[in-house]
Amino acid sequence: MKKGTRLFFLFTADLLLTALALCVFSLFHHVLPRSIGHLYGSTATPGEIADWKEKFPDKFTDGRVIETDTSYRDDEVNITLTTYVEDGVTYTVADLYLRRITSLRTAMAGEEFATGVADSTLNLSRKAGALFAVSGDYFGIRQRSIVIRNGEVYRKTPAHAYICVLYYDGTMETYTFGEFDVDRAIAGGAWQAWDFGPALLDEKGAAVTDFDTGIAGENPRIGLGYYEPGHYAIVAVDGRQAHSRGMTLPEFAALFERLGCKTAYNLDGGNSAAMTWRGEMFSSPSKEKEGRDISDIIYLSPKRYQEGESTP
Amino acid sequence: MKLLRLLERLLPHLLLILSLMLLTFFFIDLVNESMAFLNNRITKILCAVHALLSAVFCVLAVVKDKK
Repeated sequence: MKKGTRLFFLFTADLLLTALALCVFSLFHHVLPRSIGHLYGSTATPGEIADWKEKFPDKFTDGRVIETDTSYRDDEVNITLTTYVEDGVTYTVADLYLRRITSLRTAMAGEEFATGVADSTLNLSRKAGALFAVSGDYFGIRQRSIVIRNGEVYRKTPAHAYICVLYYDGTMETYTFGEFDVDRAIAGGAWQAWDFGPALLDEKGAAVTDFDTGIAGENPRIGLGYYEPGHYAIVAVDGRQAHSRGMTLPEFAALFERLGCKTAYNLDGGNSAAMTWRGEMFSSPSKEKEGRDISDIIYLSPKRYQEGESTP
Repeated sequence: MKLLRLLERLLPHLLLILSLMLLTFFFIDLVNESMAFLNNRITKILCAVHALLSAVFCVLAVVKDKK
């Protein structure tokens, strides 16, 4: 064998061994399930959870369930899904009124808090018995991030990203990595906290136009918007498909500004971005039918929906 | 002696593989820091192994040069 050929095979073998070593590394780093446990306990729970029934008197029923194909209303929640097709983009806005913040719940893939455990948004929503669900921040793929779910603190090492906290009092705040104080959020009564971002609106509720991130291009997206305690918007954007190109982050931010939100936050998008309604896909995630398997969802599961009560 | 010769032949390949792995982690970390490809226990061990093998390689190279 010629010397040049031998060298070629030697270096090719080295490259193949490198690829193999990287695969083995990935297995142990983030693919194989690894339980993280529950180290930090609960956040500060208020004595009484705020009830917004009188604040939004026409939004809740006296106990009856009133529903259509794209809306649901009872004495606990009021949600309406509206799908828009604009400028080559299909997106759905879920307008959401809650009587109590504890109706907006999150669920994780697997039995306990762990990395490397994932399932589709659809499966997770069915397991949770969700009326409505969207994909979350996919905390399980990362080794660092803030994870506070349903008032329980699972991880408190922030990634170098934006953090969004939904408090028991119904307010939603976004923070940069530098300004976020996890212990203050815990003491302040954080009900949910996500670590992805970026924040889409500034302090005055105006759309941010300049994003220093590699994910600012046209993509499928999921975002949370906050109007006031008890009133929220959750938006799912289809993308990377013939019927919908997806939204850039500036477009996504402008949408939340048009909706009139005070705060808005971008969650995990791309193939992760999925919205379900009554145990079926509602949005059309890119490429994969049910979207990418992820570690968590945000969902609504009103008691009367679970019990099967309805008055169409 | 045989073992030393085998080590001499293997070391450059091991170092090349480890270097390529660490470079891959470095570039992924630039775009996705939150996955902690650099700041984790396994990578720290790989760094230590890389340093150790580099030291052995250097010692062998110096000894060979002086012969």
